[in-house]
Amino acid sequence: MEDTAIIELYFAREERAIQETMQKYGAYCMQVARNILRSEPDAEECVTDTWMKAWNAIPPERPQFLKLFLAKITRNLSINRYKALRRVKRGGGEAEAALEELAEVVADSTSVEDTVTAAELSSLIDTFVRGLPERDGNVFIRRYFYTEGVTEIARRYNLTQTNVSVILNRTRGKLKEYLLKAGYAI
Amino acid sequence: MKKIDNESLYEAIGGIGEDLLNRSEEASFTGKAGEIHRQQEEAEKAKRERGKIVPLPGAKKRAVWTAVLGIAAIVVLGIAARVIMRGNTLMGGGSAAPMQSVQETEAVSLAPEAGTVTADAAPEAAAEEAAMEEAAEAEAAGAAEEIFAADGGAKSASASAQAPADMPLVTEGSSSGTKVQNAVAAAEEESVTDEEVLGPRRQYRTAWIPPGDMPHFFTFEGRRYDLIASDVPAEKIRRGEEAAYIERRIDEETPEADYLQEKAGSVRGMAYEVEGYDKEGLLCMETEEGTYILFVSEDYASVPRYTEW
Repeated sequence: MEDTAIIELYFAREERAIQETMQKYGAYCMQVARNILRSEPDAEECVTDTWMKAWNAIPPERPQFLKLFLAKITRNLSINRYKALRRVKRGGGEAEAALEELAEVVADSTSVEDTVTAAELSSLIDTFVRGLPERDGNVFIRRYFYTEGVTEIARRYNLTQTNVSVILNRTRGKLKEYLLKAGYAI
Repeated sequence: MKKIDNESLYEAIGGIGEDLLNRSEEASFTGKAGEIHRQQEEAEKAKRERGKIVPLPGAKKRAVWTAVLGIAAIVVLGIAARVIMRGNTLMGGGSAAPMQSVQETEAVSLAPEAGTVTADAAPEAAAEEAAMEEAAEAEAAGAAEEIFAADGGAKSASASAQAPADMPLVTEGSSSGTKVQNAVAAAEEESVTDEEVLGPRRQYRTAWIPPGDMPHFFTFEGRRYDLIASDVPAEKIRRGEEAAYIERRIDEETPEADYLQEKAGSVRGMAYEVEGYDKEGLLCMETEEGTYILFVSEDYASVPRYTEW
């Protein structure tokens, strides 16, 4: 079923919308959750919650790309769950790795004047990614949005693993510089 | 200055525009990457289709053992028939003698003239039978070992079922125990030679990470090991002893209930220990490029994290 037809089902408040969404994007959302969480049951729960969130969000929202809209919901839910799990037990897997890599960008900030809001930061990062060469931006997104491993990214874009690592390293450096210029404690 | 930490940064990346996310999707597997991806998918599909014959390890084992038992039954029946025929021949009836049971043969053998001959023939036949059974067992063990040693069960049950036809035991039809034993030895020697030539385990010692969205993991000593880092330069770690050869028996078609299979996973290759770390926490696989892929177990608390490699 086409995305537009599925969205219409949401607007008509037909529960079949969820079934169609599950059928079309269930595996995709599972992969997004699985990349962040190391546990299949946790990933499954997040994906189940994704359908509920989507149901509550559409309407009023009318996503331009249903797949990516769902990916964002799944990612947020997975990160929240990941954080909760992390409090109990130290993390691991790709999410932990991605976080550790991003720790290179930010640093101990003692002279803190303000706490940045997520929206501000999101907007900044969006602008930053748009300024990157397309390939580097795509690699950055696959790594830090989808939390994919270097091997997977290399395969996806026909790059060597070393090449991906170099791109990511260089992009993190650029991001650090960019955030510093924007007045963030780095 | 505004404060940010890596977690808030990670979360904020979630706000990247959907058009950018879509761009990253659309750029995926295009050009050469797409060609490779398609080929890999086709190969995977073909493998899955082949797998319908022997889709799961359990079914594979059953097929092998069914074939082995079938072979054993044929051999035993053959021996029994030959024993009866021999008994008839030695009794002087030769070609004209009707088929008799073993009991009948033994009963007739009590006759003074023929009795001597039959009494000599009986131990020989018994020895032959025992040797035949031994040979069947040896063949069965050899076939099973070969099939399970080969990666992904490359050899089918039908192949093993054909094996006894080539055995000297059946085709030569020798009546001597020594000849039979020689044939057994030859068969055993042949199977060893095959393994040396094919070297299925050695052929795939380096890691193979399949394409697709499957998580990369394997099970060893009851623990699940997940891929934590790839492309780790050889100078960064010291490879320890061999831990286990991991077979790729889990793919997208495998039910999750079957994920926990000892020495099996969604990747393939020889898993090694990493010097300085407990194998309960960390194992590695070597790639064809000479770099390493690290796998961390569920008991990973003491293992350094990605960026430390």
